[in-house]
Amino acid sequence: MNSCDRITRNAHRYLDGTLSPREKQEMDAHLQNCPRCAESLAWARRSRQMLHALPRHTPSSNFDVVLHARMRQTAYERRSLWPLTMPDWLWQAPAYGAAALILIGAGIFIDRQFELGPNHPVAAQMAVVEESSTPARAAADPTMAPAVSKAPAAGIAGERLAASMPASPAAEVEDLASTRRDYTQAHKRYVMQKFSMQSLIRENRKAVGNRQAALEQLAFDTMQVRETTGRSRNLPGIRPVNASVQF
Amino acid sequence: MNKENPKLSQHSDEELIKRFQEGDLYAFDLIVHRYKDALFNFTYRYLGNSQEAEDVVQETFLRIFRNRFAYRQIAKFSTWIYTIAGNLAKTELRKRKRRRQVYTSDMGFDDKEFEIEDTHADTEREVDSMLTEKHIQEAIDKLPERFRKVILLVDVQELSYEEVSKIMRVPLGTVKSRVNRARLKLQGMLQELFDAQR
Repeated sequence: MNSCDRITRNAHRYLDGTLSPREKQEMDAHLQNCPRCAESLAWARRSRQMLHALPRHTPSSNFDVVLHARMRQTAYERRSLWPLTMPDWLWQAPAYGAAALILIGAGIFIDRQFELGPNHPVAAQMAVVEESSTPARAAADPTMAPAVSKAPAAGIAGERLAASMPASPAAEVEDLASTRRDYTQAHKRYVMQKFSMQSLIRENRKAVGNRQAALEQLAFDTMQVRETTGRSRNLPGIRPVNASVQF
Repeated sequence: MNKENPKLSQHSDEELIKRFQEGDLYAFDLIVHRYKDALFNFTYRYLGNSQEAEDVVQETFLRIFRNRFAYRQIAKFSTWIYTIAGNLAKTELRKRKRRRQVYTSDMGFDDKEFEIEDTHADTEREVDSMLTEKHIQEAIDKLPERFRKVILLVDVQELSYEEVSKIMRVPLGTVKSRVNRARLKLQGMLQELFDAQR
């Protein structure tokens, strides 16, 4: 870099007075012998004076009126649209509460639906089975006597076989009934989960609808504020290209 | 607006924002009164458009109104408010670029008469013997964004290098270097304009 370039680069530091004494001395000496650099320094000084001389612009006379209207609007939004301004978890809490209530109600309803009355055909069959598996009935009916009791109770292998097999037809029936109860319970759980999912979806749709309506209301209110304040332009975010568009 | 309270008007910015955080709306009015002209001048010079500048200043005060509790007294209030205004002005500049890209292709000759004119500023005022305010504003507009912001904050708003460093979140040395480069660029452009005027 030649000395003229260095002088040009340091012109503003020279004007700020931030050069070291040695740099300043060198620059002064150079400026005395170089009219080009002297002119460059004069331009540096002049351009800074021009920036300082720029007129100070002020906002329009209705600035405060518009600002206060928008502040009121903000306060109003916070009150009227409070579900939008509160945290998400708080906003979702009523929806989850309602969903939980619906679930409990649905659970009670389903439970009652699955209760078998005395006249229900399945209940009647179950009653017959239970009656036939009672010990008194078994004793009276030789065909219902325990099969294991007839088998020779000899050795550990026999005991194991006896343990692994149903003790009697009555036990087998009980086993089947238990399996059936398990299936019934599983079906209940499935139906309850289905209900809960459906109710959650409904609640969420409703909440989204409410939020959408609130946003539309906000857009409408914003336009009203603009009209009342008599501004000829839109607020940030709503900016038409064509001024002939009137709200 | 409340009546002028001489005691309150003597308070520092930091004391005023503290009072506003405690619910004193008059303190907020005083903050607006203190800063609206300075912020408008800065955003006007930065954007070159008074309508957009006014929108940005309004939005700056609204952000402060809404997020008053976000201010902590670890930084100067003026740093905070200039940071908000500067960021919003930068966003506005980006939006304008996007709008220009979209509309220039769509807009026919007949549509142009509906564009809202910027009648607020009288940019023909003479600043130098040969150059008007308009010329200087055009030169400022041509500066890259990072140079424009820094030169406006230092040479027009007359903020300290330290404060500009905090506002722009760049080291002090970077601010000084950018200011120097911005001044040299602006000086070059003004010299060219001056030669063209002669």
